[in-house]
Amino acid sequence: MKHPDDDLPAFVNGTLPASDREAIQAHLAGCEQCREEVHWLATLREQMQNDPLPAVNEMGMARLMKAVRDEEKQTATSAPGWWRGALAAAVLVVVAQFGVITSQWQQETVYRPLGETVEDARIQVRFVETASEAQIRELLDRVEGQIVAGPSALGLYLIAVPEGASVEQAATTLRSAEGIVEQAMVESAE
Amino acid sequence: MTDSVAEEQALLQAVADGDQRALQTLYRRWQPRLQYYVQSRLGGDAAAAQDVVHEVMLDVWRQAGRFEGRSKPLTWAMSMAHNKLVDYLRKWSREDSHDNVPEPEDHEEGDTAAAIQGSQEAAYLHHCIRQLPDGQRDAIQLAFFDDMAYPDIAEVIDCPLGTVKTRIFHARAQLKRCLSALMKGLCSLDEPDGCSPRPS
Ligand SMILES: [Zn+2]
Repeated sequence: MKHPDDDLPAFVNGTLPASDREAIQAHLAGCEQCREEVHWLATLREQMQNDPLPAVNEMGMARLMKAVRDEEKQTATSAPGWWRGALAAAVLVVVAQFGVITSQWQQETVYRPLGETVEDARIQVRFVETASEAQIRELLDRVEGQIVAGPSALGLYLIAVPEGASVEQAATTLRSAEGIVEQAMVESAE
Repeated sequence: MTDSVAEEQALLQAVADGDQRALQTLYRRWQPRLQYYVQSRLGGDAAAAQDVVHEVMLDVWRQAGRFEGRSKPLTWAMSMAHNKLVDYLRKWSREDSHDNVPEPEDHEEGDTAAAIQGSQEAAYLHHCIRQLPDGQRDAIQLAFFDDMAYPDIAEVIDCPLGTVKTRIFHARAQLKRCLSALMKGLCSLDEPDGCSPRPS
């Protein structure tokens, strides 16, 4: 058998069909030159894969979803801000669960619904007018956040993130959701 | 068929039916890989690469219904990325060195496997990969970074299977030559064109 040089990269990256693999393995057993080449290719592959993939571009995703929504709007008319009603209803349920009714939480330094631990951190968020409910839900899922109050007269929502989570990091994630979040501010704890 | 291929086919089907959440899932899976490929091809220009990837994913949304399952979903998306990249480069009339692939010379290679194992050596390898002609770099990157099969690479870069093999063959030889020259101090990382293929 002549040296199966062309097949060695596919042998190394695991994409060679099983039947060809066996033939290569048989050849390698008796060919020092090809064994060395396989070693070099494997090292090359390993080294190339040491280069990390970039993190998911959250802003890019927000931009994409906005473009998708804009295209949808051209085909179907939808009332802007339709989600606000749905969200407000959801908030009422949450607030009722905690047995707290508030209209002025944004003026208070600390707002804590009953039954919540003091370690819970809060973020004040204003969403972009055109953000969809699905987008907001997806975003909140990502930071494991929950709307605990809002919207205030200023259109602010209060988001709670779980105990132990980095509130700063959550705020950064929220803030960077281009097309969904207009502003996000960490509530000072004490 | 691997699980991830079947999953992505199902996601693509959902996208074709208008499921935006499925599109988000595909974005999470594909965007880093698409970004890496496009960005390395654009000389590290992250913002331009983001624009290209945005266009690709928008086309995934628009054209999911036309995906026929003849290729793997990711291969399909990567090939759209490659096409957009070519358009982008043409638009900005940047140099494309595809067609002047230099013939590798016979060369004393030394222990090039050992040469790319340390961190200094990783810098050497990056340097040498950057020096490759675009077509060779695409092929070797898709083969070893993305672990793609030759037929998939051929589809992504839109060329015959034989061309993929030739490009990978030349890329291997060129990388060995470049690494070995760096190791012997024949050229250095500081030279802008250090260890690039010499025109014959
Ligand atoms: Zn051999």
